[in-house]
Amino acid sequence: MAQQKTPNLDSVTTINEDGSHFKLHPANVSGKFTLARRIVGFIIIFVYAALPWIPINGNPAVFLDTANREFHVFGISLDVQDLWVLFFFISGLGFILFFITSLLGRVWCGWTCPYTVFLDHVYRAIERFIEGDAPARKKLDNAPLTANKIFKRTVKHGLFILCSALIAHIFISYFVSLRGLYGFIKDGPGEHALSFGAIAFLTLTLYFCFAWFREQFCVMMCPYGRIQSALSDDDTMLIGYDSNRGEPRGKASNSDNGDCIGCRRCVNVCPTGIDIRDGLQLECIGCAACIDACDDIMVKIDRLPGLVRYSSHNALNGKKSKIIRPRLFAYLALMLLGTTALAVTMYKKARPFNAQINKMKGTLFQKDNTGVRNIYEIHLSNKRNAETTFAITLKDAPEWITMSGTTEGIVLQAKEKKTYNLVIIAPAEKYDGRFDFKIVVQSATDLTTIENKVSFLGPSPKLYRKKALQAKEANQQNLGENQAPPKEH
Amino acid sequence: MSPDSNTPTKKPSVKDGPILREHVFDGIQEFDQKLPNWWLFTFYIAIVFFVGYWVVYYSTDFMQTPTQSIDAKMAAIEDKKKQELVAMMDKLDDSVLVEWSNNQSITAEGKALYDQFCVACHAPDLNGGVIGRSLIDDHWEYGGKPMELFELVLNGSPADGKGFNGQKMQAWEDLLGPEKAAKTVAYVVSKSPHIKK
Repeated sequence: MAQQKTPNLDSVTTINEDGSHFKLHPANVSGKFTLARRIVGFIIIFVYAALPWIPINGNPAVFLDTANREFHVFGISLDVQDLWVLFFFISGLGFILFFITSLLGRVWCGWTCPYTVFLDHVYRAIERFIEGDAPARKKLDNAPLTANKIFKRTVKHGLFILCSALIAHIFISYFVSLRGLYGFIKDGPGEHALSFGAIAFLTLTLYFCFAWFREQFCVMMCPYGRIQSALSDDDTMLIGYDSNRGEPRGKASNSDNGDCIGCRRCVNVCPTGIDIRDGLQLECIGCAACIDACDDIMVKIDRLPGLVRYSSHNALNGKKSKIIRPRLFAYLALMLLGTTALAVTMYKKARPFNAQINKMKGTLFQKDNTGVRNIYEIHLSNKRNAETTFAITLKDAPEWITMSGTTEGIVLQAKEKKTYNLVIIAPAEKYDGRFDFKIVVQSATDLTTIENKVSFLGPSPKLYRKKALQAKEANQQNLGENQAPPKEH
Repeated sequence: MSPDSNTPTKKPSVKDGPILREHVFDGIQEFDQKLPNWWLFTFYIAIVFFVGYWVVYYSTDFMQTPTQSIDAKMAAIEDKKKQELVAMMDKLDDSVLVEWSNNQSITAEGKALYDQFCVACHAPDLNGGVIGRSLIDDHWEYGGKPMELFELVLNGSPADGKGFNGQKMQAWEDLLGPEKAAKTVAYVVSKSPHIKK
């Protein structure tokens, strides 16, 4: 059983020659970056766990209510038909990541990615607490199956499953809300098989990922990790080994040697099993463990820290590192484009209510001798958790049209959807063909309005007027015959 | 970089440096290394799943195609609608609708529905206008009994009906359903002095 491997650039350390998974035991490390990462990690876990508890506008801060097809994000409510704005959300977020990556490299992976955060600050912490440091864990791996080993392994995996179940419950509460989740738990799994199945599946997946799969995800599956090599360049921040200072490696007592004493400490602490001294590699998640490890050694042997440090490829090779470069502006422009598109679409679409206007089914227009009529269906949906009153007005419409229908004091209960009919009438004398106008719906609660441009359709005005005129004349001449009198009952 | 000797004396190992595959394309060669076992496992699982799914989907009735599933759901909706209609028809008759018209909570619901869908043509005072007939005068084109009104609302003006000012009323069953239609009619009954009780 291989206990120690020498990482190389030609193969992945964590995959053995026969294709099996080589289980890494990263050594314990402490230092300023480790501490800072731990603090950031706990803040992220806290935020993640707290979001479903914080109510904004009557809904949890993040509540993706798939059952009712409503999506509440920080007080903004989206209906399912508004979901296309998520395209801009993803593109905006994506371009922000582009920008950050070109500037700061893999800072996302090492510091803030939920996978790393949970793995490092929850699961590995539990493992260290129960099984001890890296040598102790290796020893336990190779030890025969004694009562002590069975006990430790049972406790460890029990805690892993417990944590996975907790995370899975928090995750599912983003979709069913905490109140919903509590209800589900009280009702029992049989009543809500789908949610229970989702939680069970998620628990097992998390357990598998964090107990066994670990770094394989970052190294081989994560698409972001793969894209990053195309986003970064020689000026991008990375964690690098200063080979000018470090080489040749050797004993500290020999003054011909560089600062690196070849202690392998940086290799032993690496969670993906690479040797940072071989340069930037795809596996590196930028966790800065090797910086803390090396600085620790350097201080002990009375040398300057920073042999492994946050730097850039150019800076490590003695060139000047540029922060401002064309790539940065290109990504910045994309980022602004993405976030602006998101802000504009959110402003236009993420309203507290929706008003969609259609022509009534199967009717283009109606005409008689008195005028032309168009019937519109106004589909209102109140996204708020409170009763709201709406009013309908017309804008940019000719003043000679009349409308018929309920336009004032339209009351919708919390989350209610209602349809109202509205008839627009153009009198025969004034009708002059198709025209466009706007139907404006305003909420009395906060005076937000939604304007819908609609078209008033009708027959060819020339023909229509000719016919209407003839009919009128005929009507006057032959009173008493059934030539569509103005009102019949 | 091309392999000079193709007859290695011992089994090559990565420890001696990268093992290259023989084929060369544009001067580019490939490492000869094993894929991770878990990765291969996902392929094998996919193959097994595909065979099983293929057989089950195409050769058994265990799973529905999307078309079948939609047809089944639509049929269930139609069925439910029919059942609701039958149940409502069993329950309703002229006297029930008259009774409902004296029930304030039902007429309040009916008024809300009337304001939503009917008011555009039949006017807030129910007196009609250029579009819809008056519901409070003494003329009933298609019958003035409560149940006749109810069926008129559900199905719209009859195909051979005269219409009013050039058009006919649409069928409201899809939009309202039998229960709401009945409540709306109850409201009209409560307002109309010439209803044939």
